[in-house]
Formats: sequence, structure tokens, C-alpha cells
Amino acid sequence: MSQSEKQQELLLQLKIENQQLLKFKKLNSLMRDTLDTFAVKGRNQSPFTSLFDLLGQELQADQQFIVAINDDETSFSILDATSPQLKNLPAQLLHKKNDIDSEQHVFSQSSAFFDLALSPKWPAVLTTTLPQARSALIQPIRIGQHHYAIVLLSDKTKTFNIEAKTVVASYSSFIASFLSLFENQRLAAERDQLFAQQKRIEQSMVQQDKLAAIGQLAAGVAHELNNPLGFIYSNLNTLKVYMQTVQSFVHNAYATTPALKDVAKAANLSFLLEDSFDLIEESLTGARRSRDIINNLRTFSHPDDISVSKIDLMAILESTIRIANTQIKRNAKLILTKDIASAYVNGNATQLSQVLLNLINNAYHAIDHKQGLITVLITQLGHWLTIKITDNGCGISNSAVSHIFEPFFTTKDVGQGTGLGLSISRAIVEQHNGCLALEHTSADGSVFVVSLPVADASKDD
Amino acid sequence: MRVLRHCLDAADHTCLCDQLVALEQPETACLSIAFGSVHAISALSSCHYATTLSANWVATSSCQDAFSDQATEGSHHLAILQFIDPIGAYGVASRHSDSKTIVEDSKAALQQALLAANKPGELPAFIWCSPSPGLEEGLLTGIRELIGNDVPVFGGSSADNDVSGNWCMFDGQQLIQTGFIIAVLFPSVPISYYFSCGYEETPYSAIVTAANERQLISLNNQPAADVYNAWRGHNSQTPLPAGPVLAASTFSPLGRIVQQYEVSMALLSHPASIRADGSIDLFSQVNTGERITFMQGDTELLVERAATVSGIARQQLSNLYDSKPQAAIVIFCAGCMLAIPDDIKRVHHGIRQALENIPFIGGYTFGEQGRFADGINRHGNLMISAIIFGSDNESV
Repeated sequence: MSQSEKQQELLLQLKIENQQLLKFKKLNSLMRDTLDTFAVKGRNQSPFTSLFDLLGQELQADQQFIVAINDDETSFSILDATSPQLKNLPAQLLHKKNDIDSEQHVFSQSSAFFDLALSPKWPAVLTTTLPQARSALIQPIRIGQHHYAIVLLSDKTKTFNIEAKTVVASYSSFIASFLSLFENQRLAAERDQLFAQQKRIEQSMVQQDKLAAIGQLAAGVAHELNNPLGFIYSNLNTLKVYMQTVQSFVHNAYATTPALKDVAKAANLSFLLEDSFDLIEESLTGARRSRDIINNLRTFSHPDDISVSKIDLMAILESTIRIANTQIKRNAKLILTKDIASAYVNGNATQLSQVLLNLINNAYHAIDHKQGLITVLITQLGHWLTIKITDNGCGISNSAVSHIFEPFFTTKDVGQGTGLGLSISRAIVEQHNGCLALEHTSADGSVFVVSLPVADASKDD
Repeated sequence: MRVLRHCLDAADHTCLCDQLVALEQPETACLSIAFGSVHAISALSSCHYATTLSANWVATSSCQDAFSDQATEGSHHLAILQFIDPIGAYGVASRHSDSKTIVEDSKAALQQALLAANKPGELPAFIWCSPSPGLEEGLLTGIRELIGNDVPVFGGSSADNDVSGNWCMFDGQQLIQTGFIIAVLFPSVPISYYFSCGYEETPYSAIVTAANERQLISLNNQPAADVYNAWRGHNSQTPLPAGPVLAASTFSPLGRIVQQYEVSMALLSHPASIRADGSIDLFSQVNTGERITFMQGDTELLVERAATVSGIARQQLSNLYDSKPQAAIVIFCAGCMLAIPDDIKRVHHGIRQALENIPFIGGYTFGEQGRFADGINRHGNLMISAIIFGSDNESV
């Protein structure tokens, strides 16, 4: 071999190596640009947007997307894509020619497709979604136990060559770091969501504990108060009878001995007798109220002590509205709207009637003007019956909203409300596998919603 | 991936079959590439055990005999490289073909090979081919039309001992005389390659002013033979008369200069015969408008060249992929071999040294297919190529 040819050979060798270096330079440039772009925009956009931009510029890709493969490699979902149609694509099954373990799916290996039309491996759903795609470059990426793949598509055949495949393969570790970032963001979001859920559960548990404690306390107090209250109530009734006897005796004495009238007058006996009756009556009213409170406490503590059967909720609602209307009609109009002909639930009619009456009464008490309007709407959605009670009252203050379902919380004046209405109502509704919630409140009124499962419907539905 | 090299004595058919049976592996090879004398390839095709040993074969007849890193005696050998690569994918297809249908046959066979590899529509990492002489350009055109120029295509045209047309190829199922076999490789190891000639440029060149496929009619509007013989005269060589000139022109072929990165690489055309009308029949196609250069060579250039080409391919495997060589295929033009019969052992020795004693097989072919660094697959004559398969520690 001549000296000049040896030199030419060496030069060619150097040129080939230079070509390789240029490829690495291109790769480095791609990585640097990616880092720069991400550093500037990364916090404000999807982590893949910059990646897609740069890869698209370098490798002439018309579309790009990243897929996540499920753990058993039977389906894939689109993590992110340049095409809006792909972004909204639901999870898809992966095509496998047969069930042999060694059979690889399309995203499992680094590959360059010069003509997608020739490949039965290419998922049909992608052909349907992006019919213009003719060639593809696929690079699988593995992060821990998770499998992903980045896919570059072109509208022309033979777009991606072996060099492009090598560049993307080399770049894949960088893409992996993006995916890790994405994964970390997803995990952080999931963690935050779990924390929030945990906090809600803890708060709920505290609330449940509080309710349980109150329930136990209420049961104990009710039991302890019931006996003395029985004495008081019984004795007051007996005293009332005694006083009637005394009054009768005094009147008889006046008849037989008129002089006693002067003595009695001097002693203001008529007033004493009359006032004694008033005092007894007031005491009996107080005792009755105490008895009601104790009964409410017992209901709160043991709402399930009542028998359950399939009941006509519509009939209960109509009956409750009739009862409520006797008081409400003076200041407000009460309208029942039915979207359904019948509504049956499994439950206790008395308790549910109590709940509805409570809610309607609360709505009425919230109305402080003469144009009061309370609407009751009953609807059915799937296996759930919903009763929506809307008023045009003064609404509930922000500070009160979080406490309205707590026992003994009331916005009414002292002596006007026990503060047990809503908490008992919620306990009853939950005992019926339903829920009671404040849907909306503002200065223009409030909306409470009771949801109950339709009789015989699955409890989990 | 494992690559196993075998060099079997194929003089006796029964003995060859016994040797093949003895090669049985726990895993069937995905692909076997082989070279052997015409007799050896024929013997292989009649041994039914061949398909048990390997799912796919590209066995090509070599001029005289195959060669390998193992020194051999006698003249009928079968040199085999077996590829055992469960992670990779391989597919082979073949066609009986002719110059009229070769382009379409090439495309159809490539698609069939991709399908056999379970990779339809995908670009393979490498294509190995074995055409019969005369079909090479059409074969490459078909490949280019289907998948472009992105995949390196290497191979050698089947040969016989006297250009009598007895060459043959075996694909594992059938023996083909006029046609081709094509193999697509998706290996789990990197492959490096180098394609070059063992000749030097001279200052003498001319433009092809008339040509018909492989018939060079005129250069600078003068009969091609006149110009060619004038160049020979300038180079102190005797003019060649009309008739077969294959052997006489081995050290003075024509070259088409391919510029790549400011460096000229020559794609050679070997004059086969001079016609009475002054045109020259070549062993590869030339096109009107191309510049043709008179090339010169000698024994030392050819002996050195095979080692240099092998060494560059080995070095590239290390430089580009940081991979250790596992096995190699070396293609050496039959014309070159016939020109230096007494020095051919020096060629083998040089290759063995350059490849640092890794196993290799080779054949002497009637045409060589490969690509220079410009990334275009070409067919040439009097060319030398080396293809080296790396080790598992690196990915492709």
C-alpha cells in the first residue's frame, strides 16, 4: 500500500470518527437544550412539552407520544402526546400475536418502522387515531419496575434511520430522567392527595369519636336524668291535683264561712292559688321539654333501635309537608315537585319523617321575610333517591357551616332550639345508608340534600 | 448472542452429514452463514440435517474453496458461522430470479424475510445477501426502493471455479443457481464493517460516453477498449486483444471514484472480456456520465489490503461500540485470489493477525456488495470487505 493511500485511509478513519463525534455532539446539544428549556419552562408546563419540541426539531418527527405499559404488559395508556386526539385516548390492550411469553409487543424493543402499513404489530387504535402516520421510531424506557416507551411518528415512509434510532437510544436515559420527574410529580400529587385524605379521615375519626363520646354521654345523661325527671313530672302532676283539691276546699270554705274571704284576701290567697297553678304548669312544660330533649338524646345515641321496613317515601314526604304547612303557611309557601311517580326505601317512617320535618322547619326558621318560599324536589338518579330542600332564607354564615351537623350546635336563641336537629337527622339518614349534606348556602338561601338508596338496590352502588 | 464457527470437510457427502449431526447444539441456530466450494454447497443442500441445525441458511459457493481462521488441507470445505441469539431476530428469504424481475423479486423477498423475523415494516440492523452474478445491482435497487439506504447491505456473489455458471446458493430449503438469498439481522450485538479495494488510482481517467448496463461502449467518445489499452500502455502494460481478459486485467481494473469527506474511494469494475467492436464487458454496471479511472494493483497491495480492511473493521467495533469482536466474515474477490495464488496463505495470515485470532470465515466471490462511509450500498468487483460481530456486553 502506498504512503498516500495509507494517509487517505487514515484520513477516512478520522473522518468516520469525526462523524461519530458529531453524532455525540448532536446528542450533547440535544441534552443541553433540553436542560436549558426545561430549566426555563419546566415549572410551567408538562415535563414532556420541551422534550417533544426538541426531538421533533432534531429528528423530523410529525407526532410524538409517550406510553406507559401496565405491569403485566397487557395494555398501554398515553402519558402525554403532541396530538390532542392521543392525549384523550383511554387505556388500550396491547396486541399480541399469540400467548407465548417470548412474543414481544410493539413497545418492548427499540425499533425503526420504515412503513407502518406493513406491520401488524402497530396497534389498530393508533392507526385509526393517526391514519397519516407512515413511519415510526420506538424507544422503550424502563424506570425501576415501570415500562414506558417514547414514540416518534412521521407522515412519510422511511423517515427514521439507524442513526436516529441510535440518537434516541442514547437519549433514552435522559428521557428516563424526565419520566422519573413526571413519576415523582405524579407520586407527589398522589402523596398530597393521600395526606389530604388521611387528614379528612382523621378529622372524621375525631368527629366520630366526638360523636360517639357525645352519644355515650347523651345515653348516660338521658338515663340518669330520666328517673329524677320522672319524679319531678309525676310529683308536679300530683301537686297539680293536690292544688286543685286545695282550691276546691278553699272555695267550699268560703261558702260555709264567708268571713274567711277577708282573711284570705289579707293573705292574698287567691293570687297564691292562681300563681301556684301557673308555676306548676310552667314546671310541667319545662319537664316535658326536658323529657323531649332526653328522648332526642336517646334517639341520637341509638338511632337503630327502631324497626325497619320497605316504606313509601313519597307518602311520608307528602304527609310531612301537610303537617309542616300548618305552621309554615303564614309566612312561606311550600312547594313539592316530583320527578318520579313513586319512591320506596328501606327504613323507618317515623325517623325519616322526623328528618324531613326538621329540615323543613329549619328552612322555615331561616326565612325572616314575608315572601318565604320553600321548595322540596324529589328525584331519582340510578339507585339513589334525592330530596332537595331549598329555601330563600338568610342562609348560614361561613363560621357556622362547618358546625351545623355537630350536636348541640344552634344558631337559634337560647331555649328556642336544642342544637340536635341536624345531627340527629344526619345520624338517622346515615343509619339508612344514605347521606345528608348542605349543598349550597348564601345570603339568598340554603339547599340541603338527602340521598337514600332505593329499596332493594345494592348498598354499594 | 453466541457465534460459532465450524470448518467442515465437505469432500464426502456422508462424512459432511455426520459432521453436521455432531454439531448439534441445545438451541437451534437462528442463522447460519456459510461459504464452500460448489461441491460443498451442493453436499450441504442434500443433507437433511442442515435445517435441524439452523433455522435459516445463507450458504454461498466460493471460487475454489472457502477459507477460515482454521488452516485446512484439500479443496472442498464448508466454513460456517452459526448465530445463536434468542434475544435477536433473524429472517431469510430467497428467489429464483433474472435480470427482468430482480428488482421486484428483491422487494418481495425482503418483505418475506422481515415477516420471517416477525419484524414486518421494521428496519433491520444489517442485511446479508448472496446473489448470483449479474443480479447484484437489481438486488440492491429493490432493497433501496423498499427501505432506503439506511441499512448496511453486505454480501458476496456466488462463484465457481471457471466462470462457467455452476455457482450456487442454499437457503436451507432449496439450491438456487440464478437468483439470490437475503437475510435480515436484528442481532443483540453490534456489527461493524469495512468495504474497500486493494488498488491505487492512476492519473488516467475518462467520462463514460456510452454504456449499456455492464457493457462499457465508449470513453470520451472513443471505443472503450482503445482508451483502456492506451492507459495500459502508459502504465507499461501490454494492450489486451479482443476476447476474455478477466485474468489479465486483474491488476488493471477500472474504478468509479466515490468522494466521501474529501477522500476518494474507488468502486472497482473488473473487465471480463473485450468485444470486437471495441466495447468492454465488465463485472459491474457503469453509467453514462460517470468518470472512470484506470486503477493499478499488485500482489503486495492485495495481501496487505485484506489485513488492513479487517483491522479497520475490528478497530471500528471498539471505537464506535466499545465492544469486543466475537467472529467475522471476510469477503475476498475471486479475481484477486486467482491473481495471487501463491500468496493467498499470506492473505489469510494477515487477516488472522488483524482480527487477533477471533474465528472468521470467508469466501472468494464474483462480486462484492457493501457500503463505504457515505452510507450508500453498492456492488463492486475486486473488492474486499470485513464484517465483525461484537459481544453481548454492548447493545446495538
